[in-house]
Amino acid sequence: MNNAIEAKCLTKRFGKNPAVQNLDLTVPTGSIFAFLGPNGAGKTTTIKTLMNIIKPTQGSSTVLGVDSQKLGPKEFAQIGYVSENQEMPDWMTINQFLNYCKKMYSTWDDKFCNDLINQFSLPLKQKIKNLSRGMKMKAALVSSLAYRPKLLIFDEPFSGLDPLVRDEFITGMLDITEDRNWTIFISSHDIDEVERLADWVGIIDKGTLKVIEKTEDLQNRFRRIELTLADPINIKNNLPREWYLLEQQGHTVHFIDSQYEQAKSEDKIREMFANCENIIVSGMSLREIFVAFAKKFMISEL
Amino acid sequence: MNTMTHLFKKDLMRLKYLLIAWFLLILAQSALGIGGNKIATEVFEFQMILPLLAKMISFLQALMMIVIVPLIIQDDSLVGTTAFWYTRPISRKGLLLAKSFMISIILVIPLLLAELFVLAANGATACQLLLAVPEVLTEKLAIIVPFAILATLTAKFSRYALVGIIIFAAFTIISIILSVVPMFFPDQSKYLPDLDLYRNPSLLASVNFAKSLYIFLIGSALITHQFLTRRTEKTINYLLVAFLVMICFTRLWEWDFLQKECVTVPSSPAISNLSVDFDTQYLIISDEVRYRKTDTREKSISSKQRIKGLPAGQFTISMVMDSVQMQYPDGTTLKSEYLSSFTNEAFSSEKFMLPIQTALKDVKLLNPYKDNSSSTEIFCLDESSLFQFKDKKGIYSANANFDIYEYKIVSRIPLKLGSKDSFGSEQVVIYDILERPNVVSVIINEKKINLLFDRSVKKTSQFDMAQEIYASYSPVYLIVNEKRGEAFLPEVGNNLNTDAMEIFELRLKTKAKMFDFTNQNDRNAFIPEINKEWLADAELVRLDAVQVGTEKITFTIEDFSLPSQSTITENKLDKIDTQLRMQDKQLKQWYPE
Repeated sequence: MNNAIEAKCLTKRFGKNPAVQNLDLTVPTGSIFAFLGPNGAGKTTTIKTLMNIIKPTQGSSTVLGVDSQKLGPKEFAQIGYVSENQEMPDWMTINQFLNYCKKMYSTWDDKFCNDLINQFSLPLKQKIKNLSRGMKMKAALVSSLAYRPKLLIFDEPFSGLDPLVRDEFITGMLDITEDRNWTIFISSHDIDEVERLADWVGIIDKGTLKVIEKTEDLQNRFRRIELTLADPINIKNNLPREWYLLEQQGHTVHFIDSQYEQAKSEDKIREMFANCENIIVSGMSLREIFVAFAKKFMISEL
Repeated sequence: MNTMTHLFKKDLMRLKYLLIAWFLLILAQSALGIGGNKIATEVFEFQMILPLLAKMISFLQALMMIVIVPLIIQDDSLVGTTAFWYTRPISRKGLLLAKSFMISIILVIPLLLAELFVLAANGATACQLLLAVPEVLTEKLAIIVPFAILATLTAKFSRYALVGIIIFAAFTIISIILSVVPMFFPDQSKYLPDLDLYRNPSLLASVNFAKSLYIFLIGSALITHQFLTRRTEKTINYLLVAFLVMICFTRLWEWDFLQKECVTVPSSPAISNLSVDFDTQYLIISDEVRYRKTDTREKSISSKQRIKGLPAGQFTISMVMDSVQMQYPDGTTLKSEYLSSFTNEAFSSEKFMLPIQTALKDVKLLNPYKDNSSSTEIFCLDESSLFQFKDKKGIYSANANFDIYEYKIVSRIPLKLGSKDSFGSEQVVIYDILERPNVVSVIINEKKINLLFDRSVKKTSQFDMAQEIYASYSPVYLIVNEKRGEAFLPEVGNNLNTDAMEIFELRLKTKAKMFDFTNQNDRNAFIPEINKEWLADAELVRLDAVQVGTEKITFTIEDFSLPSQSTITENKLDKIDTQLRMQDKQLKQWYPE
């Protein structure tokens, strides 16, 4: 099984409103996949469809090689799921909660669980309903990691967490997954946080998947270009499609090249801007790439 | 570990305090069912508290059940997208089994066992206990399942409560409308559901049992569907269809599978010299009940009925008259409106004494009653007609239909503390015997087990029951000393009459009664004292009125005139009970012959 998650033409409509449209998604086994998108883009709906919590209107998907709609106890024993919206049996203490979960999983690792409890400093005797949001998320994380699942799915795990807890959470996750070949699918609108984790990125907007690519490749092909021209000129209309968000301020031109290859790109620039005196090429963060995408889609829709 | 037991333990841990309270309530209810009446006979204050306590426990139990069911189900909610169990290795089937097991173990089985225990403690046989199982189970499940359905279709308790209140309010409003409509639109009442059923108690019981079974089976199917698919909208649609089907089949149901053998009434040979009339010098005029101001003002005329020629030991209970009319010489016929079928007479009436004496054979009844007041409605007409025809001579004619009864000894119990006797589905236990100067009080507990599937219980109509309660002519308890050939009737007016078992009323009726026996009363003279020697050989004897025949006689009274005013001053017993008349009239309006 090469892919932990696969979706083909996945569509989910609520009444007449499409939440996810024709989504084709592949999450390779062993990858950490960041599923990015603004609020309301369709991330949670996609995950709930993958997890068989809601039924798709059209299309199909598989998780760990099994049709999502047929996911059962056997598959869920290998899947860890943490969501900001997930209800927890909050009348239990953390200790009771972890014991309750433990009995569901034959692969539960007590030592690993204790390590996680110590790492996250969980107060075992406190009832879940009395915990802060951060502590609840940590408890949920421990309960989803201690049985060493093959696939971890996080739906907006950082939402509502303060920066300190967020950092602790991510560090913990990085430590845990460092030596293990786990597949992690993490959805977030908080790009800075997942940039440290993700080796694959999918960007969804208005229910449509815009990009799906390795983070490294994405960052390699996206460059911010700044040109200094000898004289201001009128920019031609037939600019390459891969150049986004071109702006001109006097002698300076900025744009984003989404298919940057040093030699080819420079040739193309010289061809388009013959009087170009200087070219500055700078790398982009995932956030900047995401914003560039978002702006481009917004402009193209307008 | 097995998912079912794991989830069961989790739910048990969560609800432990509530469940302790629940089991305490069941224990309290059982204790009341077994010993409530006995304590009531010993502690006077408890007589007052007992019915209240029984009602309160019953109410609390229902309330707790309404709360426990959703707490069990909604802890692993089936609605929404956020429940914890959705992404855990818990199968839908396992969850369904766990919740069903929990509800069975916590709610259904304890209720069943408690009721069987109470029935057994009240003299039910093993066979009766077996027959009670399907009845109790179906009844309890039919109550629990609708709440379980509601819990499976709502995510949170608050939503469950809100929807529950809305449904309850809707049903209450519909019930009010259904009960009010026939009063204002009697002609339309035939289109209303269920009303026909009340004519036949066993058909009503059959429909109710079928309805309970339907609720349990279809409800369970809907719950299973919701557990296995979590398609709430679809389940709600199925539920609505199932509800409509239930209303239709309830309306159309005619299979009286619980019909019990009727009390066999021998086709008595026509009693040759039987005659009926009424005392024309004893006439009482009263106002008929009106439902609306616009109703015609009607007058009811009552008299003392006289039935002559009955064999010794037989008496009549209800006389229903039809084709009642006055024929006048000028050819005018005045027909009576509907007449009440209730004869107003108390057990102290003289007419019951000879039948009691006949049943006792050689034993002499020492303190018979001599009351002679009773009245039967003989004519009913509007005020203006009465004004027009009053004091005008004519021929009164009517068909009199009446049931003939006689007393039979059904039980003899040695007059000793704790003595008991079982007969048919009934049991009588002597709780206490209090000997005071000139008075002996006997406290008994009457227990009657009435099971749907028990064919040995004879069918009794609602009219019979109403008449029995009203006139108290059956059963009759006496103390009898066979050796001396003497018997005493109790004084009229029991000072104890408890009815604790509101909760199990359907299947078990228990009633504590106290009877005072004395030779000191103003109606009899020179009767022996009831002392220790007399009581040493005494028995408590129970007589039941048993129907032995029915008769229909057409009778006429020549030269009779409708009175313009009552010919006597009426006393309490002369007046027909207004409430009974009203119920009777209402039933008649709904079900014209």
